[in-house]
Amino acid sequence: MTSFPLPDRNRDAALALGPDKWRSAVAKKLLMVGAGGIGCELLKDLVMAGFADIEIIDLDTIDVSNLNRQFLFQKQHVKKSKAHVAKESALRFNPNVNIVSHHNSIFEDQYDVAWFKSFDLVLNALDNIPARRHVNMMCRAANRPLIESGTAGYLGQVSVHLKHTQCFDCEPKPTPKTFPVCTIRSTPSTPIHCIVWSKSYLFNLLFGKDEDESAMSSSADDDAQEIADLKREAEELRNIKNNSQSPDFAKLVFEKIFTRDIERLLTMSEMWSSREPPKPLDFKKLHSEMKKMKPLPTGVDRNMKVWSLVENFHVFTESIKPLAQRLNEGQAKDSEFSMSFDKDDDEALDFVTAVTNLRAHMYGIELQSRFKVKEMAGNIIPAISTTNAIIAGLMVLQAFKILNNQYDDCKNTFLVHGGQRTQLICGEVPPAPAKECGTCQAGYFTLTVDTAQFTLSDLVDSVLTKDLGVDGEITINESGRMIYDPDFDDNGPETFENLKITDGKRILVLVDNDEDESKNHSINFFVIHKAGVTPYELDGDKKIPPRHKAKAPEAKRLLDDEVEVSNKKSKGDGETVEVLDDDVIIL
Amino acid sequence: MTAGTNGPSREQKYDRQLRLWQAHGQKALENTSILVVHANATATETLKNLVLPGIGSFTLVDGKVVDGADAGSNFFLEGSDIGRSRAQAAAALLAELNPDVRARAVVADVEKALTVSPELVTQHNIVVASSLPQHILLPLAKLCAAENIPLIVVRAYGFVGHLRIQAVEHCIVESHPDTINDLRLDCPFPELLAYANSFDFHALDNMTYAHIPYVVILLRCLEEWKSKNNGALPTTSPEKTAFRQMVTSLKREGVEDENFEEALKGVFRALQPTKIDSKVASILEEARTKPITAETNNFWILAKAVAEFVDSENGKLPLAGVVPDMKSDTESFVKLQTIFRDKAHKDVAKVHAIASNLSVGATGPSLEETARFCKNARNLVLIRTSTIESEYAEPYAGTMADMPENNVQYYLALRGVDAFYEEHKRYPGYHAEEVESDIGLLKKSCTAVVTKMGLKNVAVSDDIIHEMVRAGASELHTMASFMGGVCSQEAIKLITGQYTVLNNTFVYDGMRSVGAAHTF
Ligand SMILES: [Zn+2]
Repeated sequence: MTSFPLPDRNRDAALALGPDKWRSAVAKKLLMVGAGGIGCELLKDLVMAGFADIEIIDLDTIDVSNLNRQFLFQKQHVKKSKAHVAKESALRFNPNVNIVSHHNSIFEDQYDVAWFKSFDLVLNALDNIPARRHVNMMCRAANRPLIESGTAGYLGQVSVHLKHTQCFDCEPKPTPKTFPVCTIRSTPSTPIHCIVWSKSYLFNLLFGKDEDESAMSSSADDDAQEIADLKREAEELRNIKNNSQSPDFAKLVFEKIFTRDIERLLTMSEMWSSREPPKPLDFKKLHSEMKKMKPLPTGVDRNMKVWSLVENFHVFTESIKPLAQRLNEGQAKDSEFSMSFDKDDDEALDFVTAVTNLRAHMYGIELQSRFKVKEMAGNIIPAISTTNAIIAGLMVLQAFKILNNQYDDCKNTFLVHGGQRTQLICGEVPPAPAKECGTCQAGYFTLTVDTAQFTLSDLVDSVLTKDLGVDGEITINESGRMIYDPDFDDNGPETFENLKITDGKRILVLVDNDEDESKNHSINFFVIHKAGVTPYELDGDKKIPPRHKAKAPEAKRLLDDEVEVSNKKSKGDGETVEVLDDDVIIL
Repeated sequence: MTAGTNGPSREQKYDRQLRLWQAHGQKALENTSILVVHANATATETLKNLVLPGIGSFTLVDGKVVDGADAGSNFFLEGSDIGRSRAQAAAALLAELNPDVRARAVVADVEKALTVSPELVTQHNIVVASSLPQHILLPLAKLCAAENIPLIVVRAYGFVGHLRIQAVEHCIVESHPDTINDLRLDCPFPELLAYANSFDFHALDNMTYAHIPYVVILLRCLEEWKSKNNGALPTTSPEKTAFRQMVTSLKREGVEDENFEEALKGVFRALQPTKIDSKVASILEEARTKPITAETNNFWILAKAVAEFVDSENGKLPLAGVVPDMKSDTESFVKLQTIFRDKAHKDVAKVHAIASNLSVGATGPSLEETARFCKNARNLVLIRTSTIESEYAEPYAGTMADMPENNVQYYLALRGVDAFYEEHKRYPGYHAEEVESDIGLLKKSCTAVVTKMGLKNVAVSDDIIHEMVRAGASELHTMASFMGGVCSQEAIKLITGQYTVLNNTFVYDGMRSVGAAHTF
């Protein structure tokens, strides 16, 4: 492993690409975001292709379930940083490359526009939409090309995002699925309702910070009285939580959630006029049945077989104890300690599976295996090495084109199933940007100011009006808070510092002009603080594209014969699959 | 219960893939032993993707020693391996990826090894061969065809990828169509009809009315239609319109009608008569006359059993037993699911009984396997690829017009490269000083291939000839990794019998990012 560099180490790469093109490509500096399934393949491919200046960032640590595909990691690396271990493993194969690893979140302020500008190309190998959208936005701000990737089972895709093509945000993404509060809390009808209740409501109330409401939405349809009752129920549970050291903790929780709360629900006769009412469970009865229970299957069967009612009861009582103990031990050290549901935490998964099934049983809903609950609760998308290898290879092929400025040769590529669609790999020219996209049809600037001196009025009068010549009503936001609009200009005289617009923050300005749509703009300012700067330094392309209003969604059409047929036809080669890398967290 | 003490369980390690191909797919993978010919980058990348998910064992055959270019293009060979056997060095590094996999290296000249000991091939269930010269490939392909061992030929040559699958007979039970649709609304079984008739539409309160499953709505409308039309279903466009109006007329004023909207959407499907797809019918036809011996695989035993079932059940396949999600109250939905599941169980039991009778000697298909077969009976796929021998037969009987021009040219250029190798015992452009002279020679080889194949209006362009010579038989790692991914993906489909494999040729143009498939 010591005889590098080999004289002809990159002979094949240079031959195939042509020595000049190869040399100019591999001299470039790359950023890889994500060191998971696709990331491991990608890093290997990049190093083998001769790229010698790469930074990797990943927040994650290695889990056992990564080992079936993330081949830069081995058993002894479990729980270590993916970014660091990936770097170490890649260096083993070629010590002559410069790899910098960051075990960190890409959202951190330190990864600012200037940092993104230090790369020639950004490659995303990410598993979640928010991070992908963030990198996409930063690439737009830094004017750097981005290659996006994703896989799901045997499917995958690679897309290229250049200045003149669609950005990642141009195509609207599916919004996370939410359920009405009352469905989750009172009237579940499917297994997923029970799973959401177990992991987002109960698990969080007992062991977490508090109820996770992200998966539930209230609407005007929900009964106000019912909501009030549910609030009270949650309060009672918080009180029980204070008894988590009691030997009776399992019983206290059980009788509260599976007996008393259900009995209360049954008194709401209106609710059950057209529904089968739930049947409360009896702790004592199940407890005595449990004594006669055969031992729970072990190994694969424990995971794959659906447990009986009493088996679920048994797992409930068994798993709640260690979870409570972990909470108590954690809080003894740090009063703020809390846990959150992790699908790879065996005890947490046991608990959520048992609670899901006990609840499902009461409501006459089909029970699920632990394996299936893990998949649904963890929103797991199956990931395998074959697909990752294909996708990473396609990414590097596109990287060569971008780095040699062959933008017209770039393709978005899709891996399909085979079968009816025999092509396996389909390509399309990257589409033009969507006119109404708020991310790429926007201005991006770095604004260097002395935040102790520079005021909001300076931004409005000097930068926006005089320098950029905007003409319309101005609204200013920072991190989702509105700090200025035509009816609210109180903040005008305030300095950035007073408004907490400090170094690294991003300001979003919306300009609206009722008469002339072409004067509508979205403008982003990344603020850099530098003491003593007067009045300001502005860096960015002052030719800002207009922001088109989003089109109203098309009216939903009823499917008829003709549509059904044409739908089938359109499922052709260009079909896009919106898929993600590895384990995805959307609900 | 928790990981750690005894190391990770296989189940934890394989969690993600088990969700894709399930325990029986994993079992098939773990029972597979693969022979891989050549330890080049494409072959080792292929193996990597099979070792990681836990293939049973692999044998890697190669007679060469590692040189600098190998170490540069092959992730599984290191600088320190230079001078060692390629097969041994690569097998050792690959084995490190997964302790569950048994690894074996055969250090031998490939041609000799294959001719001297054909059992080297026949003791494996699947063969992958990368960059084999024609005179070695053809006998290997012939042997694999004779033994019905699937063979995948794969190559990365410069920016060109080529893959060819030869599977004399590959039976797929789980072809994974987008949806399984088997509601039998046009010909409901008695239990289903009885359930639909148990609804007294007029007597239901509004809340219940809004939750009648659409399947019940359609069944009732169809029964009424049939009673008024001598048992016939609506077929013409005006009849279908009238039928839709009939469904719409049942909507109740002021009552939520999501279920009725679902019914209207479901009309198209409901009016498609339940019948056996012609491809499945021909599989059953073949099964009917097929003698069952001790060697017959379970696919054919089950196909024969299903054929008998169909004959005894008025031409109907076993019920899939799957009910799609629909607007309904939980009770009705669970009831509907139960009705479909019970009927499916009954059908499975019948098929299983027939299959057990048919089986010679051994126990025959398990109930679980039978259930899987019945559930997927309407989507069975049988693939019989042509042999590689026939691909090389002259002249070629078909056309290649279904592939983009460039992909056809790359295919022909690779054939030309192989012909060049047979003639000159080296690859074009391999020696830098011969690049210029090789261009003319390769052009000659390509022209000869095109002529022998008898293809009209096709020629390999000078640009592509230059590109191939310039590539000098180089294996670009990126392309090797990509083609290794494609090859292993198809290998897993072949091994697990799930999803439909490519039939039978894939050519990837890495310069233009264009993939194309062709059936030889
Ligand atoms: Zn955009």
